[in-house]
Amino acid sequence: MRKIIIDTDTGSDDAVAIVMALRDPNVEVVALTTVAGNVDLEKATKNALISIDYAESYSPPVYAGSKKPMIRELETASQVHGEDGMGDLGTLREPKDRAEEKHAVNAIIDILKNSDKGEIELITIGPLTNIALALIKDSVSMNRLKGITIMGGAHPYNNPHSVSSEFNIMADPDAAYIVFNSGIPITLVTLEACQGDAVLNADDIEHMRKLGEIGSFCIDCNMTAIKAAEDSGKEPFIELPDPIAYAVWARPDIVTVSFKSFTRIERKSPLVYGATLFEYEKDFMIEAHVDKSKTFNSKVVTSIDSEKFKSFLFELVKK
Amino acid sequence: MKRRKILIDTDTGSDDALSIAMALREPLFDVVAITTVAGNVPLETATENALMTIDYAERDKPPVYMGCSKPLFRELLTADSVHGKDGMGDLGIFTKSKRKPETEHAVDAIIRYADMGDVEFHTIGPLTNIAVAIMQNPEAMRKIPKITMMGGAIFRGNTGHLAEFNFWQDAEAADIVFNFGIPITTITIEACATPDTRILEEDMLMLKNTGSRLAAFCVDCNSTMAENVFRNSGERYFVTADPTATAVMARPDLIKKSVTSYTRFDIDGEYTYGMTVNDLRKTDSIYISKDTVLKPHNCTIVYEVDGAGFKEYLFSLII
Repeated sequence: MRKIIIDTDTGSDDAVAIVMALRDPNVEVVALTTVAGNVDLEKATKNALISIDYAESYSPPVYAGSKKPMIRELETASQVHGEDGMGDLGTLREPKDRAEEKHAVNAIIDILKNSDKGEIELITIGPLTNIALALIKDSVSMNRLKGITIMGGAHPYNNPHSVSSEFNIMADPDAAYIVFNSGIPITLVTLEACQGDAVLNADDIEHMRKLGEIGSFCIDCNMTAIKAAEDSGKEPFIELPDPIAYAVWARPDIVTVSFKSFTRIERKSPLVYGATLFEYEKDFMIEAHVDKSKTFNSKVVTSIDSEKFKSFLFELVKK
Repeated sequence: MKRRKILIDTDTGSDDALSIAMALREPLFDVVAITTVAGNVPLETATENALMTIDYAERDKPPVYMGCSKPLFRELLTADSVHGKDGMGDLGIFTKSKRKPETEHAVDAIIRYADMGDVEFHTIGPLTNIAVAIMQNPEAMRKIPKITMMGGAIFRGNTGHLAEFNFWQDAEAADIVFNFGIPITTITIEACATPDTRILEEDMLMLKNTGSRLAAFCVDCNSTMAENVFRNSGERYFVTADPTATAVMARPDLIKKSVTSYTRFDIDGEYTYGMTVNDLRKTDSIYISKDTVLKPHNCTIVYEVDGAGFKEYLFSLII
């Protein structure tokens, strides 16, 4: 049984990732930790608890974490996820449970402190604030992590969020900087991997609804994105970056394109803060000022097998 | 037929020499002035090389004006490793020109020619002179109908992350020029560095066998680059960044792929100084950060050309 902590700024696509993880028979989610990002911390925590209920599986503890990025102010993404982060339906049931008292940063450290090295893995589907703070406080315990799978980043030329950066990294580039310098092996699932065929199209959306209540929940909580597509005269579609990051972790065979990279995070430029800067092996040599200290710190995933991803998703949400 | 008036701004190293030769030989062009700037080589060397190239092209004009000897803010970092210390391959075989540059500063000459209103600009070095001219006399500079540049990147770059050498050398100047409002077409490093634009060993032999003094000059001044490439890759060829831009200026039909963009240059980043930041986002996506105001596009980026067509055109001019 693989054990994970999921760190999440639970908005609509995070909810789907949480449902998948909780229903995956090969996985034990030991904790959900929340962070401000798509929505503020309070909503993210509530949405995580709601997602647990709708997953109709087991209930891992939920720990609320950082209320804002390390240095920058919080900028949410309500235009994608709705004011409540879950599509503004007004029909979702209130959560049955409450979050734990302990702060997420301490919870992450304590879980790792009491684990064997390599026993626990971490999946982050929000800004990296909690993880950076945990690294600063106790990097020794954090290094017990087998690895971190991050939904985040994009090649700077192909990006819808900002001119050069992806939301999760851009929301707290200072935290991302610390995480990428931590030495813990990182798998970065970029935005490119989540676009094109990987989005749920109108047929997929209909199919998800037919799979039952859990499938319907996964669609309903993405209603803001669906409505936005329809309002602009397009067929409905949903981007699912966080579920894809989960799937890449759970089923690495869905990856079709990836490369090892020395990845750095730009955090100082007002123009391109949050840019994920990739260097492949050959580029270590051609840069003007060769830095011998460069080593690969990440595996960057830029494309997946959409069919495999979708059947994995369908299989998990089916009641 | 009315010839197009062209001013060339150049940090004359070996590939600039080809560009100058091409433009002087192109019947469609009337090259009215050459202005020099520090870049590939120091200013004095660039100026000597420009004058020498005019001689080898068997022309007795245009006038050559010396411009800025260093980037606006940063120190000059030349490209000796590519073009040689003398910018022309360090062969010691070329005859220096007896002609002298004009006494007028290049920036003043640029303003004077811009004010005529019918002189197109062609920049194949850092944009220091153009930026200073804009700061000194924006009214005159607004009269420039069009600038065709070699510089910038869209996917990869050749100097750091998404940075290209010409604009990386003086990114502050590049940002000033791109934000000023003169219509810009820039030919990126990706368009110039594809295998089918390379001048191969067989091309070099062919050119030398023609007996053309200019063709031999064009090959010889790039032969050190070809030898460096051979040492690194086992193949003998040289790349022709600036000539690709010159060809596109004369022959827009050689363009295979281009996009319009709102382009800026990073000047503040820890890792991203000189990055070409191309904002290609569409207005109709909800995934754009909130409160984003997309700017009107300020340039056309050419990132792929017809390599075979380019070479044929180049050869026809210099033989």
